[in-house]
Amino acid sequence: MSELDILNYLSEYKRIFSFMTADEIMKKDLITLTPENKLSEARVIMRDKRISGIPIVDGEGKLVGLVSTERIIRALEEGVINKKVGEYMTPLDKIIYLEPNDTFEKVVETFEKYKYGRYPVIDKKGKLVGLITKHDILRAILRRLHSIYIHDKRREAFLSKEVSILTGEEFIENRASFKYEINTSSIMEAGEGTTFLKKVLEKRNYPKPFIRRVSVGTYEAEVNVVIHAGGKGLILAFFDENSVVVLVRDWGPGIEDVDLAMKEGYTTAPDYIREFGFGAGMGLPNMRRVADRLIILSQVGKGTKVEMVFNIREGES
Amino acid sequence: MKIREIVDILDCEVLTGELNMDEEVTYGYTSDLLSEVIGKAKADSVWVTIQSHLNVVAVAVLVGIKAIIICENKSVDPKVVEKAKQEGVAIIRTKENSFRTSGILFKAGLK
Repeated sequence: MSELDILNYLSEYKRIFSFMTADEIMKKDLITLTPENKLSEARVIMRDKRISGIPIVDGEGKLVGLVSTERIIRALEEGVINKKVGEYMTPLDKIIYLEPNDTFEKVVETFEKYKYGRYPVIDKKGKLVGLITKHDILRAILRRLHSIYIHDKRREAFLSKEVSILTGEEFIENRASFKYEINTSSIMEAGEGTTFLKKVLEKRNYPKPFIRRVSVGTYEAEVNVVIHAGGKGLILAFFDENSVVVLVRDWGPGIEDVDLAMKEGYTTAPDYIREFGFGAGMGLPNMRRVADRLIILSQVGKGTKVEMVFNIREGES
Repeated sequence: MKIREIVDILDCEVLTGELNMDEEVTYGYTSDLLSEVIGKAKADSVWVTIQSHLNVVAVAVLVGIKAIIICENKSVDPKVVEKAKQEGVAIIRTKENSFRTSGILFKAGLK
């Protein structure tokens, strides 16, 4: 998923997120330089921190310019990399910036209109207070939303890569605290992985109500793998002191319409499965209820990936 | 109330022996839809159902259900009984239907 794709995707949702402002979206922990620094210093920071632009501020924290990687590349070509930032930065009057109270819609429109990678956020006095990249918009939405379902071709990048969209961290299988391979076509045996997971969590002394939530979410995901994905899948769990992240992955046929699948009572389970009390159309709604954050990524023919974050809630410990 | 007391007031047989007979339960839940049970039933409860297959044990374990009351005298595979014993869930079977069974338990004080 390229950043532009993400943006196009999000622009469809502008209205839904109209309650968010730039202040909520922007990252506040910023790396800045002053006009007195050298371009070569900016280059090192960009490389080491993997950022594509650095705001330049004066002694009072007011924004005076911006240096992008494009500028650094040109500076290398022109042989001016050891010159001062102040001489080569994009000056303030050429910078498109945002203000903390700007709406989500304004933020997205700014991205669409100008095609820059980042927009500084400055307050009324001209002080730099934040920076917004497309990535920050996505993060803000995920923070705000209980769940998001991405179900079109743009999922592919995330489906083929084992990276958590919720935490940004890579899912490294051998670093998982728990791993279970689902491999049964018998619906009666579905839930075995979850039962194991529950026991491991009990051994680690997580609070009981918390374990219940993790178990319910994982069970529903596991049952879905058996009913809909031919019974082959993987459960990974990553334990932290105050949270557990569960990933349930399959390589089955995928979900045609995730929004529809999320509706309570909607099911595509065959009759014989329903006779056993499965497929009541409660699985995904149950997951949404127990998980603090949930993402379902699915593409027809490519499988489904369910990622759930469970945080120990107040009153659970 | 103790599960033993439930056994006393129902016309039923216990398939898992002495297991959990002295456990205290406060709640009951009646449903044949597993997702309903897993989503809504409370821990320390008994579950009234006509489902009798292996997966009901998994659901009971995950929820913290102490006993499954299988109605309509449905047949129960020995594998299910074995699994229930392993996982610490009592299995009780009755000829009555779910409605009447729930009614008896409700009257006896289960919530």
